[in-house]
Amino acid sequence: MVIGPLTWSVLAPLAFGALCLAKDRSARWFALLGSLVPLAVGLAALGDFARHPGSDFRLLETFPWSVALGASWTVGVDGISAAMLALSGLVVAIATISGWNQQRSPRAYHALTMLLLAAMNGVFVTLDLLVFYVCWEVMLVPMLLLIGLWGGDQRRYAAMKFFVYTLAGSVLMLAMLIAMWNALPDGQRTFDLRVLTTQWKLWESTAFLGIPLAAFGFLAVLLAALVKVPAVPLHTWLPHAHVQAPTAISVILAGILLKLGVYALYRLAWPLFPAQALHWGWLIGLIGVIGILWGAWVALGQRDLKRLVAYSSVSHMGFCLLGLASLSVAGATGGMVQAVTHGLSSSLLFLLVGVIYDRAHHRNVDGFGGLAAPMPRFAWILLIACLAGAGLPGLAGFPGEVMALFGSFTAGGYFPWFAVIATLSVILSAAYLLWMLKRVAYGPLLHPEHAAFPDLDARELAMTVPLVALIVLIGVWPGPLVDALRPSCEALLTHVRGAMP
Amino acid sequence: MMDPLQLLLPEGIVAIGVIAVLVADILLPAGRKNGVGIIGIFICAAALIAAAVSGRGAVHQMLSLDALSVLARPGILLATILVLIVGRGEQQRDDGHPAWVALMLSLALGALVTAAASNMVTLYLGLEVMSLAGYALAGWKAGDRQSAEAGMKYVLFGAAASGLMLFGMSHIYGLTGHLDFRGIGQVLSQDMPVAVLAALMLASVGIAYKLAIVPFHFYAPDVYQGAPATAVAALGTVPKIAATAVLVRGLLMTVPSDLAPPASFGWALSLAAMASLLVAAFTAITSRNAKRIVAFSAIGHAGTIILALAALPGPAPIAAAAFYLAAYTVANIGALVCLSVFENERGSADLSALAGAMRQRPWLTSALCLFLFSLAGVPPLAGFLAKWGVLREALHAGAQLGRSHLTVAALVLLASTAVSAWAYLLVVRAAVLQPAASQPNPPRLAPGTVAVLVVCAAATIGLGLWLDGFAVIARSLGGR
Repeated sequence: MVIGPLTWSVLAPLAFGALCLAKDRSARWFALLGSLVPLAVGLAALGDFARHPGSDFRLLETFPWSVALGASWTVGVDGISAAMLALSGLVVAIATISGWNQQRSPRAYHALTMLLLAAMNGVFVTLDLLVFYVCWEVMLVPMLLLIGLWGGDQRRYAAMKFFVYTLAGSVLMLAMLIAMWNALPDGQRTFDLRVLTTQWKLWESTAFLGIPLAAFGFLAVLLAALVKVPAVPLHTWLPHAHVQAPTAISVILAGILLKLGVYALYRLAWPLFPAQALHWGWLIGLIGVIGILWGAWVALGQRDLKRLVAYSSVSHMGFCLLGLASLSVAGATGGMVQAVTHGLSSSLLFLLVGVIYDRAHHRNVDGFGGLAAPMPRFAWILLIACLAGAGLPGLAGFPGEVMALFGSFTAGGYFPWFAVIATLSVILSAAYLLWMLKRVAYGPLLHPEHAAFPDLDARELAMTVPLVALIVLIGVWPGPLVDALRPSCEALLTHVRGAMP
Repeated sequence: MMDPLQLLLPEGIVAIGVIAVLVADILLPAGRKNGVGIIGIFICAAALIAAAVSGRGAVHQMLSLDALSVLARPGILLATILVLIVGRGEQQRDDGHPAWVALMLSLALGALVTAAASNMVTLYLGLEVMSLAGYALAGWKAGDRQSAEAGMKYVLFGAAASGLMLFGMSHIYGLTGHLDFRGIGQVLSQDMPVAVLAALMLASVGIAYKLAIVPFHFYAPDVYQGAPATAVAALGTVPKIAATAVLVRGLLMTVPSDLAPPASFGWALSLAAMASLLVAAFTAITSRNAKRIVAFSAIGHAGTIILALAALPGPAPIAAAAFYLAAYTVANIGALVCLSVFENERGSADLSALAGAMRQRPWLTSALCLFLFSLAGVPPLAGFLAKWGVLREALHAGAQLGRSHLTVAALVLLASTAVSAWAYLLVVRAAVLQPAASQPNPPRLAPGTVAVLVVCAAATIGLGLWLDGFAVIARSLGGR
């Protein structure tokens, strides 16, 4: 039996994570290597999809696990999971560099990061519903410990809140998974998502607690996904977790974990329950729009920089929901592009907040001013990050947002209205980000002691410059990424439209 | 018919073992009595081998060595062996050790008899042997007020449960003229008067008490908190295995199969399950003692097992319950062994006393977390797969067999999972996340304790990945 690249993208972090436990000094190197493997695999697959667009699953591998249950280790990627895999490898590599000088038990710290990465990659590459659920839940444990052990003052409460919130969000998914398995005829029971997708009529006709199983399942996945995204009003764990988490963990949280919610909608909710997606699309769109505006509005009033960036995430992730819910090719593709680019820009913002926190030991937005003088490189990169977040054309934030808005505008029903309302947030996000930029980086130097702050050092450049380069690259040349993602979205929407009565 | 002596070889070995240990206690000089622990372990191992070869059959109408007891026997004996190994490490210089070993073996003997009982008399006999051993084990640290209180509470509640049970049994005998399960079942298959149903429920009180399900759970938190953790490891697992086995047999043999479990009995089971799950989850989160939290979780786990049984008949629900018991047993013993080490070193298992455990004993605390996460049902550990199996049976019976109360009960199980996760996290927070002033380097753990923890941890991970487990167990039950 030959183990293929996708299985390695899960096994390598696990193996390197075990090696991390060996020695304090070498742990970070092993963690970096462990995250480069999925990055390489993801980039190679993404490049393949960019050159030869298609909606098929590639790099397929299957290892039997339990014939009786119909569960197997089946992995494969389409354009979207390839992009997510590359993103998770990249973000964890950068988070590892961000936590390079972690002094408190670095062995355990890096090993837990690797466990987290393995679980996230498992979600991205698996085509088996049971494995999906297992990996989805496994993520909670390393995240709990990473926030709870290496976080800020209220880390213990924040970590437990995160754990129970997300666990409660996903338990219904377990009931859905079992009810679906029970509903299949004896002998054909399986967790293979490709098979389950073709059975969508069965979920519609099976009753569960007086409603169709499809409706229950849709609700279950929706709940699990919306907690992760996080969508208003299920977002209250996020600012808390972000504020308490160490910088590197905030980066992982914003860069990848939030994307898992969108990914679950894309991989589970839409394909398994297409008729429900058609029926409830407007509601998801509405939730997206509310999140876009609410996140932006609340971000405007934040004084803690991390809370500000956290709420901006709530706002930007709303575009992913809006785009997916619009059920138009442009919208769905835009939503997924936004998921990738937000992973880059929010990671960058959290890294930069971490950079000044390391120097000033506080994150109060009013406690800075004029940092551009002592730290010109920092100011430049912060400028790019803010402009990318605000959706300036030519930077990575633009293509996803504009496609999501465009798709929503051309879709029927309430969606044109949603698009019009969501456009308002472009003003809001420009306001809170540029205002923050002004208060932190420009103007006169408010605190004389800040004049001695050193500019970004080599390590900090190593973690920010790749993100800046990608943000600019995707901004000016989004073609390959869009080409890689679009066919999968098209195939999904064809499948969903097939469920129209 | 097979020779009864051959059928009962494992029980016989353990019974002789109890006497052998007591004789050894007299013969061995003071200060060298800890060798008795080895005898106890060997006796259980011999009984385990005997159980593997001693065939199936019935001993008159008293004991039934069917697939259920064949499944329960290794569980009981293995759990006893694990606890004996840990106890030997803990009580090395304790001259009372032989008596403790004898009590543990008596507990196992009572459990073996209970698990095989097919008659109200043997059921009562087995439960009482278990109880009497349990009373002494719970109150083992006679000088310790909490331990003495635990023993006393266990006795009082146990006596009340026994009384109710005997009361029910006497009614059953008066109404049906039978004490053996099959005879009762034959009478009930013709007619099912409410009085008999009530008597049956009364008779199951003793079992419910051993399982610690609501409303017979009140002793559990105090006993778990007060009794020595090693004793709790045995008291929380061994009687549960036996009680589940006999409950399944009782349900299958006495309750007519076309009604099994009849609407009212199924209702009673799922109501008890839901009550146990909710009470356990919501009271656990208010506890401030790790052993108490494990006690409440044990009530919830018993509720989960009952939920699986409410989905009877058929081998699949039994397999789900058996798998759940296996997953619960290894994780529970593991967690309590970890807590026992902390309790002995720090004087108590209060959450506040666990601070800084991670820094002082990183491996032991990691193991504790592993067991707690398994009990909480986090995949890919055994507790998750076990919960998955029970949910599957409950949802199957709810949707496909039309017992919709089971669907509701399954959702209650899911809700209680989320709530009780908080309780387990309280322990994790206390042991892992809570910092403490620097502590002295701890002494090395006894090799036996380490071995038991390794076995439990390996089983917790291994069972969680053994997706075929349900099918294998169900197949072993198929022959019945």
